[in-house]
Amino acid sequence: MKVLLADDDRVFVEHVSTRLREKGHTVTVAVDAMQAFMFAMKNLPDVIMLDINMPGGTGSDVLKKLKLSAKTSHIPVVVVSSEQDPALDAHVQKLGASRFLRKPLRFDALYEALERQAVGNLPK
Amino acid sequence: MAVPSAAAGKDSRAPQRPERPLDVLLAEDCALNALVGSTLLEQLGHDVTHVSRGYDAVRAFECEAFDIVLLDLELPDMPGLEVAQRIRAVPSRKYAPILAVSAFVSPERIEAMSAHGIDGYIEKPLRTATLRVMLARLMSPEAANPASLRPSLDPPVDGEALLQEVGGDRELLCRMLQLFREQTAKLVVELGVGIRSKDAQRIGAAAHALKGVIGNFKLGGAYHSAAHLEQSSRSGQAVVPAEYDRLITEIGALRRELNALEGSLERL
Repeated sequence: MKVLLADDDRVFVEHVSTRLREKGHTVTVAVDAMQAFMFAMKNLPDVIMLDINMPGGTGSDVLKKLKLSAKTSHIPVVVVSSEQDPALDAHVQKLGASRFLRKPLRFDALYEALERQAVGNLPK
Repeated sequence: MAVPSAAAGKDSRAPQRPERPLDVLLAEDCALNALVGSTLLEQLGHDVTHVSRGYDAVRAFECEAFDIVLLDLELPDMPGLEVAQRIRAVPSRKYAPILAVSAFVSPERIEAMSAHGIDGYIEKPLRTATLRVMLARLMSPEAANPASLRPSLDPPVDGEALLQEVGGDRELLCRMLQLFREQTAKLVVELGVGIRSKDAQRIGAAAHALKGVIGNFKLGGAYHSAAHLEQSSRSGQAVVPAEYDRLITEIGALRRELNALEGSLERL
């Protein structure tokens, strides 16, 4: 699968991108909100992992834009965040996120979510 | 961080041999947690006496010389910290470390634990590896030496679990550790600038990023301090310089711990 990882935590991104590549997946990394939207439009990934707190605009804005654009609205977005706000889950699902996962996050849990979302989105 | 007060002034403890079966007093009110705790401890070869109330824990400790106390901090009849304090007040022939078990850990709580004579803590849910390492650490001859100042009550980084989490890829873990050093150094500077310029947004962003980077390795004092700093800056509270100092000290300790882990990676 083609995965876009949008997260400014470089340690986390190094971990997840390496593990995904080891499993044979194609990974693009965005480290701020603007990059995340640009790379999504350019690469049209099968699934996007989006950290809701990123520099250069909020993840919520990126999510809204992705869901408004005809080119990207079908791409499942798995939102991750270390925010403790209990309302965040419902908030991002309302904006169109397919899944919400709270950090700290085990790789296996994230992988399972990405794979499950991507499967529904792969060309038949 | 404060040195555990109860460690001072009690030097009658004989050095413990590792691998020795311990007499453990387990104070836990939830039946399921008690079962899990007892089973894990018995699997490690220890003898367990279980009580469900703080009052019973103090009574049991008065009657029998336990090697160590595993204390759930959320008992129904008495605050956990008070149970610890009462256990400390019991005159006993040997010093028994108190290992707190809690689902709610924060920087203030760690300090309060330390002030009430608790020697270490584990966050719920209990894991065998963490429990084994903490028991070994608290029962080691070094821990029995009152002159050895333990800087933190934190459970240590679980190297085996970390390596497993990165799929056994040692090179990847080394790259993550290198990035951890770079990122924490950068973010600590950023946090300092925010604090000097009283820029709440900058403090919140830097503390949030630090929390994330630290959380990749360990949920201990440094993680909770960063989370606390993020929280207080976002809710408009003034950042107390002591909070910043504590976070810096904890990050330093974590960095040393991770450096040591990197040095021992080949043996894992």
